[in-house]
Amino acid sequence: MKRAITGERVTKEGKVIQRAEPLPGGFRFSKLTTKVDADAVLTLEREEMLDLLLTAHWDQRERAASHLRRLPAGEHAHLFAISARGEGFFLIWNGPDKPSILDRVAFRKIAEEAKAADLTAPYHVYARQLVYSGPNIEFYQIPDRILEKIGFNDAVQPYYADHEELEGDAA
Amino acid sequence: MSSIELLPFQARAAQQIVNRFHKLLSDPMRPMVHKNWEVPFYQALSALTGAGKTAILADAVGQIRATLPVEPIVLWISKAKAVVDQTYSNFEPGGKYIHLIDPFTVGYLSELTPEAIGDGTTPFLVLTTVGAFNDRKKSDGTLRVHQIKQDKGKSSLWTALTTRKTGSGERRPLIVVYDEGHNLADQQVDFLFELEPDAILVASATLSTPGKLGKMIDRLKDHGWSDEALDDTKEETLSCLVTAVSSKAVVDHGLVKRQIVLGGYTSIMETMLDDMMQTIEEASQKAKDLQAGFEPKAIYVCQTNKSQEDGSMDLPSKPFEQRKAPPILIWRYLVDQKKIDPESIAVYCDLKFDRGEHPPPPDFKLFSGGEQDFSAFTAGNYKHIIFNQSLQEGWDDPAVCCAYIDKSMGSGIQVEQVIGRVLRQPGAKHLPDPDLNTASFFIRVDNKQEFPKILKTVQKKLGADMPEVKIDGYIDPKDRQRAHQTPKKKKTIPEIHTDASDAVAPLKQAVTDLHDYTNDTKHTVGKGAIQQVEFQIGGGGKVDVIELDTPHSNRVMARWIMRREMLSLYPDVAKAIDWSDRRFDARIEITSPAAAALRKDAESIVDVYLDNSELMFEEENLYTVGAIHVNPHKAQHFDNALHDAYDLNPLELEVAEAIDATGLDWARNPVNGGYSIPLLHKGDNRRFFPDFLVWKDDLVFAIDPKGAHILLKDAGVKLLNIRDEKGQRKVLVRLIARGRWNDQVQCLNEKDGFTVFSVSKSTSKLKAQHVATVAKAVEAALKP
Repeated sequence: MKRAITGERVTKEGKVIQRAEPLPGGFRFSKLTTKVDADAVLTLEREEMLDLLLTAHWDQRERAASHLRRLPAGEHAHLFAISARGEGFFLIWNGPDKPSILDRVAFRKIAEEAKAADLTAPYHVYARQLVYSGPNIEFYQIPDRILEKIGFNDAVQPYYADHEELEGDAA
Repeated sequence: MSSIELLPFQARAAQQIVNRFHKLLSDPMRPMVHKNWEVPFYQALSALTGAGKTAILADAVGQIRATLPVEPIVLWISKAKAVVDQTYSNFEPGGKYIHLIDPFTVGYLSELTPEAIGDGTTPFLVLTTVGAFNDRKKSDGTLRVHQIKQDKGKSSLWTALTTRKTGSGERRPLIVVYDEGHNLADQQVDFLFELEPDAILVASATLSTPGKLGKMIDRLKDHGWSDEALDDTKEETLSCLVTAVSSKAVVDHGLVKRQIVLGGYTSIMETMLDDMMQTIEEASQKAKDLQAGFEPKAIYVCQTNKSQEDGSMDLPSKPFEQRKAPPILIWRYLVDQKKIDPESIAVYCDLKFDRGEHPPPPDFKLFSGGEQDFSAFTAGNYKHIIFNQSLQEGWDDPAVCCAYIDKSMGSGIQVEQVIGRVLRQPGAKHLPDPDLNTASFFIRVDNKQEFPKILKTVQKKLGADMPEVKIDGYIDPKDRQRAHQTPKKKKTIPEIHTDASDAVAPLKQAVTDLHDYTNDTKHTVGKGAIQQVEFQIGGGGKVDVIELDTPHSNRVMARWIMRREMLSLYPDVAKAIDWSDRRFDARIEITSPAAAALRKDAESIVDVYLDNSELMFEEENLYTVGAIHVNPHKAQHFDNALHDAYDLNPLELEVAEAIDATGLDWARNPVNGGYSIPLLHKGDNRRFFPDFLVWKDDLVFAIDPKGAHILLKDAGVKLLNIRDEKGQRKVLVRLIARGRWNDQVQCLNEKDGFTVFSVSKSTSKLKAQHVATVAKAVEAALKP
């Protein structure tokens, strides 16, 4: 890890020299400390939610090419990342107590941000509820889609960890 | 996303299988094969290629498992190894169906151990080919599953699977899934019956099952089960042996390609490949431009060792350049003449080489069907695939848009079988350019008379299964060019969104009104499965069977029951619900009264959503008219249309001529891949594709001459009343019906002129305007 950052590599003779460009920095380590359940997801602030979304993002269709380029915080109200294919990823989330609904007003704002950033359809949107569905929208429900991405089975697992104790009698 | 959401018709089919399984399971009169074995549940899933058979069956076993008191073992069988590997990769973590079978531990049958079988806490789904257990010399232990391993005790895997007892003495349920249309041979059935399975699910299009399996099914028939393919109703789970998926639903949802074009060539291979390369290059460019998300591929079907010119056998002893094997000839032409990167070409067949004297070029990617070959082959994601029948058996790839069929295949080639391998639509979504919804076949024939026969056979076989897929053929390659029509002008129309903002408060109320089952121990319990348990009585090793009524089936979340019901009715509703309410965490048995009540509640919530939703046009989301495919032999030229010509049926033609005469810009809108409007009602037909789009001033009229029946539902009236948030109108839908109709959508006289349906601008009430001629009808339809 250190060498990846400094650009040092081991030569055939076993010497450590700087052979590659040092990486410019900008790293951030996020560690999830508590058990993730719906509560844990729904009480996140916007930047924390983004960390989680980007960690969980994994697109089967593209595999290796599925990396998202994260945009600096605060630039856009919703747009937070751009895929390798030039599609925008949007999050309607301003903290746990604020509404998170993809409605007409939010859609127009997203379309505006997409136009300004010259993005192609579809729009990938994360929010709690969708009430303005239409073509060119890929909607990902919070917290459901995030929980699913991290290996949650909604058929048999409760959304709240305090409901977990019942599992014993159910099995 | 990695997981593919089930479509409503898929969720319904799976649910029907599960409900019927429980019907037989809880039947106190269920017939027995012998003292310890009840007649297994049987269900045939009749569905087309591309209908999502694997997804439906996976969901069905997932749900059956959720409802059983003892963790089951699922034996998932396919004929070809390629299919087993493909299914395995779909079931692996990251695979597209993992969410359907999530609690299962997935593996190959050969990896299953007697210890794992005895561990009743883990559900297993094991995959195998028929060949892995189907062997006469079983007693010799030639096949691994029948072998008795010295260090693993006395019994073979097959024996352990037959007993399948857990540590606490319960017998684990065994569900056999046979993922193939072909009938099983009696010998294979014998082997499977040795296992005494509890349920057999078969993906089969043929409804008659001969042989021993048929005899077993007859026992269910004698017991009142019918082989009619009827759908269950909400009130009643039917005793039917077949679950059928409508082919229309499959095509309508974009799961399969819209069109198959067959070209018959008598020219040499090189000319054909030139044509095909051009087609694939064009398709690749379009896929790129339209961000289709896939790269079109080509397949080449040929014999492995037989020359296509004279039928003589190819000699592996000759140098590579002198070989006559069709795969080598095709490969060389692609690499040497068409300059295609050999890294993108896979040859999948049992091609022999003299590796010492005349090895193939180092970049010749040959797969000959070995154990690891298929996974290496799929991982390579090759763009050009040269193969023979051996790969054809099981493999399919939606990205294939072109297929070359070599003369070496002879006239006996069953083109319709190859079609099955390319029929699936990439991403299960039709695209605006018809070329990306089409599979093109380039078939080399000896003489021109042969081709119409092939075309006819394909049309007959596929046409019966899926009349919605268009099958065209040509012998003159120029026809192919003429078939593709690009628009002469760029014209757009706002897409239509479903605005459910007004539903938010009523939906919230509906969720608040739900009964809280989290602490309910009475209504959440169903009548569980009757389980047979073998107990050893006394110490003499005597085995007896006791029937136990086990009242507790596995519990699932209330959230899951309701969400599934919504997915089978109107999936958008599930996205408008806030599922984080704690009451959805209630644990409920699928067969309990609570589950039934929650399903009803789910339907009421869907109604709340639909009642409170409106259609709105959205200027920030525009649809652009794209290219279309027309049959050059039936094409009719129009002066003012966006495309040069269309092929239309008689009523469409009448209307089209009247529209053309107005001088306005207009286009024929293709079904699927074209412009569509959501229909706000429950059911599979959830989008409306108007036949014609007409631009007049700053309005767009969507005219359809055959859709009056949809006006009988609220959804139809909403369709005619599309506005924006300010009440402005932009997209105006007009329906034209032949005859005289009234405002209540009753036909009074079907021979009297035409009726135009619209809604009143001020009152939003449906009105029917009667006119004498089609020209008058178009004139009336185009009035704002």
